[in-house]
Amino acid sequence: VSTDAVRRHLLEGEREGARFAFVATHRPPFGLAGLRLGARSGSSLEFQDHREYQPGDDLRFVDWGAYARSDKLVVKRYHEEVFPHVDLVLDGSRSMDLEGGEKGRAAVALSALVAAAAANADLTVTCWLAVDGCEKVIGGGLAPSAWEGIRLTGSRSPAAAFAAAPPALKPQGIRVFVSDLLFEDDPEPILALLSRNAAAVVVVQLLGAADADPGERGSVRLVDVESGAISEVRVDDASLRRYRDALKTHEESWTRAARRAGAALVTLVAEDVVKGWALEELVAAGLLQPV
Amino acid sequence: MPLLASPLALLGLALVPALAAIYFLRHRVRRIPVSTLFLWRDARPLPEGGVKLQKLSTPILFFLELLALFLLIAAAAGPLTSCGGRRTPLVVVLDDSYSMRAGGKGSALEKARAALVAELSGTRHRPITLVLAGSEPQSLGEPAASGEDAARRLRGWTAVKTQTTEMGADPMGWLAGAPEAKLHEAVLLARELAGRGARLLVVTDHLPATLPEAGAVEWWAFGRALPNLAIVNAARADDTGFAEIAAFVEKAVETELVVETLDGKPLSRLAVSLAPGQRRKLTLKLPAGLPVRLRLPEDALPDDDQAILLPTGERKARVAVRLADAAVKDLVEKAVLATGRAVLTAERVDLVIGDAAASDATASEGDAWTVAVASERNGASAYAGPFVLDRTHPLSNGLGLDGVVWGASAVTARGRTVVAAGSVPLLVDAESANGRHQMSLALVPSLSTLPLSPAWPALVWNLVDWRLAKLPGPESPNVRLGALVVVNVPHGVDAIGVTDPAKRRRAVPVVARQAAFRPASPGLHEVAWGETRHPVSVLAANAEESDLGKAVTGTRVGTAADLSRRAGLHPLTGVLGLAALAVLTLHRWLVSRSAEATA
Repeated sequence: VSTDAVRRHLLEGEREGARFAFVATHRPPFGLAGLRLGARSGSSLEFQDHREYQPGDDLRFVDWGAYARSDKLVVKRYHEEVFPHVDLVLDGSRSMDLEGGEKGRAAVALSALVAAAAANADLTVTCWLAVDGCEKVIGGGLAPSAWEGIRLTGSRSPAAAFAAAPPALKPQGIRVFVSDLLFEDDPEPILALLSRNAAAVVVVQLLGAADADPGERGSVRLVDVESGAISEVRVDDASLRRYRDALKTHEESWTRAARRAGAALVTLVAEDVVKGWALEELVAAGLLQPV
Repeated sequence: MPLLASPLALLGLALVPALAAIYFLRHRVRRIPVSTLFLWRDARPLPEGGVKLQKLSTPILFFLELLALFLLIAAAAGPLTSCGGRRTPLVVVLDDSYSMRAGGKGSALEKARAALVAELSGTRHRPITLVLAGSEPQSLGEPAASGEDAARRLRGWTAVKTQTTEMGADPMGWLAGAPEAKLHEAVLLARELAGRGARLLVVTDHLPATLPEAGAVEWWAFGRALPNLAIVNAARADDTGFAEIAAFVEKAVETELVVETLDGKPLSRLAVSLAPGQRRKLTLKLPAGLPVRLRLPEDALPDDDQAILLPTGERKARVAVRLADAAVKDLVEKAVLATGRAVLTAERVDLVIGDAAASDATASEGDAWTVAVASERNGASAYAGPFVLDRTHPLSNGLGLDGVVWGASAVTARGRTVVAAGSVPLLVDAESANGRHQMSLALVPSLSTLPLSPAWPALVWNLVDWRLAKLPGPESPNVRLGALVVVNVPHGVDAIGVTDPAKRRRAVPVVARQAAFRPASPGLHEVAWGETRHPVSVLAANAEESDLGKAVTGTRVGTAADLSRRAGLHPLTGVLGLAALAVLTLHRWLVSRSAEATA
């Protein structure tokens, strides 16, 4: 994606993002640690309600007074403290700009859209680009149209970029990771890094149509756009079936890892995304809401 | 060069680049950028892989399909093999009918001869047999050992030759003088001579509607459809002539029939108008005893434009009756004269009917036959039957003795019993070594009713007729072309000479005082022995041969399979087809195995 194209896509995402607001809280922020309360139970000082004690609950939150009165162990639930900030990490590897599709456009524009939607929800945004390492996008705190240095040319996987130079994520912030997740590395370290001290983690898997369902058949020379590795294979129905099985297995591993990390994972297909920007999946996942 | 039955099938080779293009496009390794390769880890890698080896990466299936395609195209092209170069016999059937001579120097005969010489000079068939298709198919000599030898024979038959042949055989080779060509019989003979696998070639002036022998015969025609006026029938009874003229033309014609002497002096002219296809029968007044020629204006086929009619005045047997008994003599003479075919004379007699002594006396007289009549009453008996007749003898022809009383004493002479009353011989015939017949007749008229019955004149008529039939000379002066000319010759003649209208002479052997030959061409022939000469007129009178409307030039060679079979070639289509089937089966098996491995 050229610089001009990036600019165009950022503007497109910013424009489309004006129709959405990022969903992070339901009321104004309160508390010491955070300015906003998250939807989830957390450790803020604002009492939410009681519930019965369950093994594993922090004994500090046992309401001993209630125990003395009812002889039942109940714990106090407090609102989670959410820092009103979104750390948006965009996978900057070359696979995000797979030629022959809309993946690059969708990746850039979707990032801009999330940032615009966060701004609509009075959230601050920091945009990170995972290329060789995770680097803060110049002007990433501003409107997307002011971002500089967005490029999808990295030859390393996000896992390697996270390992090389992890992003400085704000505690209790909301982390949004936009990537195709098509790298072989273990998802656990990335999700652990993203979910550490996070109010929420949302992983948006953005696939190209060719990633989701390759249509080519015959003898093909597959070229990994990141590493340049070549594999000559004969693609037939059986090969495609095995590819889809492998992709499904890979996605399931990410889904399991995301569940363990308390992250939400939404899979989008770039070509579907740019076709009207309905983003029903993100709305359905509670990440965005129309304004 | 391989021989192909259907060379157009080679156009199917255009499918080869198409197949190659399909494979190239199908197996061309396209570059496809992907986000990652690890999801493709289970994809089946190309067998060879690598950019540099791409040209060698065409799978075996391609070669199998290519091979199958080649085999199928080759099978469709119908390659023919000669089975190791074995040379097959060739039998050529030659149309010998005189219609082949129509057209003069450009006749079908000349064209066919030239074409055959050219064909035979370069043929590889061995041996080569020539069969003449005339009224009776016959082989022309021993098979030629080579095409050049056969061609030399064909060329040589145009020359005038003199040779001795068997009775009835054609002596001159292929001269096209037969009144008809029995091609079907000739083909059958050729098939017998050649056996299976031989090439049969018929050379003629017309084409059949369908090839005989299920296409096993090759047919070459060199004829031309020409208008023709023909004398298709002619006969003569002394001073009366009969002629039938046919017009095988497309337009009505006015023509003239000229009656002339043999030296060309016109005797009469008769204008004749004929519509297309019409035949007219004419009765002509001819000078008695004078040979004449009936002539039409010369056209495409001269053979049927003239007919020579020789006088046919019946010859009369010279009979001497030397009987002492006046009553018996009168009885015999009346019967002899009643035949109308004999004269009573005492000189140069052909037949002597007399007493036993008189007959003995004449036994040494030239070729005269004798009938010794025993008419003495002493010791005679009257026989009322039953009478036994030798029905194979000429004297018993039509003889009926029912109710007849035959008075006679038994014949004591040795010989072949012609009539007997029980075991009593009444008429005996003995043939001498020189062919003379000496008959003995026992008859006492005073004891017999035989002279009063129809059997008596019939018996005498048979006697005179038989003697006349055996007189020297041709049995008939006017014969049709193709008919057997039988010539009686005197004792001591071993062969007669026959000279045809082209002055070609040949010798015909005599067997049992008869020589027989079949004229090879129409016109005036002459048979001779010693100082004796007899003319014989041969008439080319066959309407079917004179009709040149069906003559064509062309060939009918049958299907490619017929050609190959006649040429001794065998198609390889089946073998190639089976090979293609085997290759396709192997292809299918490989595909199935590959599919199973993939699954």
